[in-house]
Amino acid sequence: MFEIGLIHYILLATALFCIGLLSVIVSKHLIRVLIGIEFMLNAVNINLIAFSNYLDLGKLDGNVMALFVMAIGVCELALGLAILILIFRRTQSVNADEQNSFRG
Amino acid sequence: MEIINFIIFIILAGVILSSALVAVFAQNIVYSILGAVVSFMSIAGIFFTLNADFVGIAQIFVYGVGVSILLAFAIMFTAKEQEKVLYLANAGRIFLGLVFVSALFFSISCFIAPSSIKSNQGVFLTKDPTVSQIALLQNNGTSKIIGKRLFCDYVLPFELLSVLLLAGIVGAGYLAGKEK
Repeated sequence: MFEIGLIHYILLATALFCIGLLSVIVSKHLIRVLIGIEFMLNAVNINLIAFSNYLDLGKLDGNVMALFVMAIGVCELALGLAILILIFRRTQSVNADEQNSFRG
Repeated sequence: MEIINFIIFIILAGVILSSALVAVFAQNIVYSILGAVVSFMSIAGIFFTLNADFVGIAQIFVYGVGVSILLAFAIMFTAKEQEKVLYLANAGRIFLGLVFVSALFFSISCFIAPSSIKSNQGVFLTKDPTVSQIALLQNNGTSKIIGKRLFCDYVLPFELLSVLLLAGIVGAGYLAGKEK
């Protein structure tokens, strides 16, 4: 009953992924969209670490993959925020529904 | 001992999911970023419970500190609009998103529900880590093994990642630093 296994971590990661997807779909603020993408990447990391713990403990392939995912996620966030600042400078708005043209 | 692990997991999972919901549905964008940072820190706690100390500390460094400062500067640069206008989308899209996301969650849950928490049953053929393996990892730490894996087997992705990070730095600086 009170035993923690792999399925608990997979359920947690699924719930976090779904919350991130909900944030991407629902919110209008562009920063919230980026936060939702970060939540989805963190859910992937939880899955990788959980499978690394329960399937190949000692070799730690999942930990290395999680480090790669983390670096790529931060790179993507930095580029996304740079594009956000560029959009804000051009249109004075961070509303995701108004950005349908990048040609200015 | 089992019940201590259970309680720690439940607390961490509750903090992660509730602060993630705060980050999605908070009225003020500053509260939203605060909820996101609390969620990232608790994810580091989840990593610690999974015997991954190096990745947990990297999570605290990268997400708890770096990403939060980046997001705080981003909202300082763009904090001109009223937050209420940019709160949520219209009701139809919220309804559609809730239906789609809950359908995804329940389908994945129903797929993995037959896999019991006992090992070697169900969808995933898992084997629990033995006590000696856990003691080895917790006494020596995982950073030595991760360093060996990273510089022997994964050295090509590592170097490609460094090129990607360089391109990201140059691109972000070029995009955001350019005055019109």
